[in-house]
Amino acid sequence: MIVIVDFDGTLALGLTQVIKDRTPNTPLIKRLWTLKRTLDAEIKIVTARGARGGLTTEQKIARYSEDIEDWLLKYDVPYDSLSYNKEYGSLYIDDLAIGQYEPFTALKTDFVQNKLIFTDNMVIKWTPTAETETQWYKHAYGIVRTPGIHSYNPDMIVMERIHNFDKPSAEQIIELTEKFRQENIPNHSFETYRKGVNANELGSPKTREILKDLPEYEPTFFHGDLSSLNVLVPRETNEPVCIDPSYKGIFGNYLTDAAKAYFSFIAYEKDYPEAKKIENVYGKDLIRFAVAEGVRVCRDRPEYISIVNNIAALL
Amino acid sequence: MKQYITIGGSGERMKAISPLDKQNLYYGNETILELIYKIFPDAELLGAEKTNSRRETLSQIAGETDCLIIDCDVIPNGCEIQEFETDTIYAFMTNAPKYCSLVTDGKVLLEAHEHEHVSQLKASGVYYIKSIDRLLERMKDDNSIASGMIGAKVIQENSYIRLGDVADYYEALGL
Repeated sequence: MIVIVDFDGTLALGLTQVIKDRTPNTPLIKRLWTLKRTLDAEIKIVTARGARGGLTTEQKIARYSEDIEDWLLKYDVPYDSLSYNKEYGSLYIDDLAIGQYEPFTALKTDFVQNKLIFTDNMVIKWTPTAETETQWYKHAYGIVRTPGIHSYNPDMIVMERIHNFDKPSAEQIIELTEKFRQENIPNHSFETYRKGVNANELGSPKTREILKDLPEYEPTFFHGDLSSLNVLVPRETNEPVCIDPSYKGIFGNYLTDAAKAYFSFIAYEKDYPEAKKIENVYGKDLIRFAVAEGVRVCRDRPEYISIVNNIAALL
Repeated sequence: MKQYITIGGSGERMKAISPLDKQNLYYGNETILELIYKIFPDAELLGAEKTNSRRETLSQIAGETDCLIIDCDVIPNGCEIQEFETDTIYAFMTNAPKYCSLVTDGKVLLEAHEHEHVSQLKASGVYYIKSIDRLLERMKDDNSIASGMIGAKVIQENSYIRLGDVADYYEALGL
């Protein structure tokens, strides 16, 4: 029996390309030992390293083999050979695999053109921001519920699929943002946010006035895109699960997140009464940041500017 | 000719997206009201105090003659002030049942049905009225100006922007 095991993202976890810094998938290593001992399986480790660079097999061996073999030794991985090619096997273990009978659907998201594949239990997300999203999920651990991350690489995140969920209520959003208020995450200067929402010629005079005079806040933990679409509430647990963070080089805090939720309740859910509950807690600065968050949306979808202007007119 | 923009309604349908009065919602970077004023710069607002019906709003100008009435949820692009010899109602074609249905003989309004989808010709929300008193006398439905305009000339348009409810508003915005 030959078992083919993928190296990066399956055995060796982490975003870094530096092999020695990769984290071992300890449960899988234990299972490989079971296969070895119980079934006397021949285990072949395969890697696609160098495949995109057009290296010859000799070049790949020269560049990667020593580091990979040291790593396999260090973490006591049972294996018989290391290969840079597609290998014949009785069983394949790979983080980026779908079984041939496993139903799946695919879609491209409206706003940022992420490419998604849904199986029954997994979401496989192709996104240029996979690295920063993954960093956020790590920071969020223990602060807020997120889907389980099965594996990731610079292009893809493979995560748990949440089923049977509802949209969040305003109360649930407030509960989240109040948690965020108490926590921290590596952040950026407020100036990065202000620059990102420069109105220029976009928006009504009131919208532009608000953007010119945004009140400065201290950084806190934040999600970066806490819209009603990115908070799933499973009916079974009723505990909000945050997905699709936007954590990429720009300031954020609990109020920018609350403001994005407020904007989304109005613009996407068409539910101003629910949005008003968030406004009642955070006041006029929430509206100011909702205008800013709306303008950020308008960079991809300028047709939302009327909704942004309506929000600005509430001040 | 007097021109009135009616703003007496409660605007309940738009409360799902904003507490602002309907005419103060934005279409692009200008409010609906600002855009109507661009077409009818001399128009006056009618119904600043909220009323319970169109009849009640129009009663505020009882006795007036030769009036152009413009609903505050339509931007009547292409509409111009002109001399009217008779009551005139603007209309457009749609399959959507939510607008006031108009039945004509091709030229003249025969029937108006505010709540029944009996034709694809619908009231646009712009009306030329010779006599407000006569209109009020003839209105069969307190919320339907068209119901008091049987016999009026019908002019078909296809260029107005309709923003009367959230669905129309979002469609007009391209959302």
